[in-house]
Amino acid sequence: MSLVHWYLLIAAALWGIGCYGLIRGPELLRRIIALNLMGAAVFLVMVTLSARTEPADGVLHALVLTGLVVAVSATAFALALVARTLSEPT
Amino acid sequence: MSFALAAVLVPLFAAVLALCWRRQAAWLVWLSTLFSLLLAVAALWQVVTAGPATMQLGGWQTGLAIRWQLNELSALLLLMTALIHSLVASYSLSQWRDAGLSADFWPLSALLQAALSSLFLSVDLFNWYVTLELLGLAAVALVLLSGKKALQAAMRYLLLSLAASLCYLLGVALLYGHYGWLDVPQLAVAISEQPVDHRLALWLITAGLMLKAALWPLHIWLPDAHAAAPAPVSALLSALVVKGPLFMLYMIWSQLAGPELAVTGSWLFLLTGSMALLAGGWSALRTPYAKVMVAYSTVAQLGYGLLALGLILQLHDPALTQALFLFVLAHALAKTSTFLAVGGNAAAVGW
Repeated sequence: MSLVHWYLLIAAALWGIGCYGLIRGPELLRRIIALNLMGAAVFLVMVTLSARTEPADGVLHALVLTGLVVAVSATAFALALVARTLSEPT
Repeated sequence: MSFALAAVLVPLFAAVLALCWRRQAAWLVWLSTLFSLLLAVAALWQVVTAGPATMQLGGWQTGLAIRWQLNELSALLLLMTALIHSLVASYSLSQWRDAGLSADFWPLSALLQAALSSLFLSVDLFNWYVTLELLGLAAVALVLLSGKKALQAAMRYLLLSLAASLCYLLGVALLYGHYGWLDVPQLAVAISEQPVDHRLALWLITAGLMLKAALWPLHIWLPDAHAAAPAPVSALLSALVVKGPLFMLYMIWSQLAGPELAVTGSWLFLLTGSMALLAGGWSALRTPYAKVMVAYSTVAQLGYGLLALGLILQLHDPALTQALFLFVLAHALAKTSTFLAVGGNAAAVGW
């Protein structure tokens, strides 16, 4: 098994763990962390795919960077929402 | 192309300005929607007289650049976005103080318009992801304007929307890994020349988009979120936001699926479309709340969109494509007026 396959396998495992955590819940924080795991899996796939060629594919690296920015803002938004849920019991 | 570009930039700047000058936000955004409506009409006129145009953002070569395409379809959808936004903004301008709508509505709705307009104009898989995320975040923030009672619905909407985006992004990464293109027209050429097995990527993309567009059976978040939001927001969400992913589904399946895969996909769309019509209609009939009923009607109506998509993939008849987008236009107008009428009724009787 080559290194690329190994990393893709790890990414699939991360994705699976993330999906499980997201569906099982029920704590919001756990779900948000699960989403971040899924995001990490996607970024790992991208970095692995870009490493197949020599030199590495720069487009995928740019995508990972953009994806990280999106993931950070989305996580911040979700955490702000959780903070509001906790401060205002319905 | 310049008019279309301006129709995206005007709401974007209006959103920033509305954040800075919160007192004037309502007028500012209302004017910006009217102005972008004029620009969208000009863009459509340009397409009709001078033909379609494309633009590579930043002047990079094909492959690196994000391609924007202005053709009859994207110009029409751009016009639809601007028209619905100007109608909703006019309604909100006359009602928002009485209806207790927060002033945050204005910058967020302008941001929503900018995101949706750029979604309709771009033909780049990754740019679609970015616009989808912008759209999702703006939409969740808009739902939250209702305050406490919307918190739970908004949280669910946000989590599912993020999961859907990641599903889509994984599909895009795999597709790029297979072919090395993000640009949809180039990708279509590469797929027709040297097809490899990209079913997994396409199904991941489809699952993400179906969840985003609230297509049966992935519609569970929609009734709560749309019913919890203030009336103008529900109108925007139901009329426009779900149409973005539907448009992407059409573009991706009509261009990137090989002939065999398209037939498999068409059966899925025909089946889920019919189920959406039945299940959505049934739930709409059973609910006692006006807004939930209208929200379920969106689920049912989107079933027609899926049916049309399935038929397009089977029969390849251009008339069906026209039918799909005429339906999208008609539904946007009808749903806007329904939600605004429900909102007006609720305000009149103090519900």
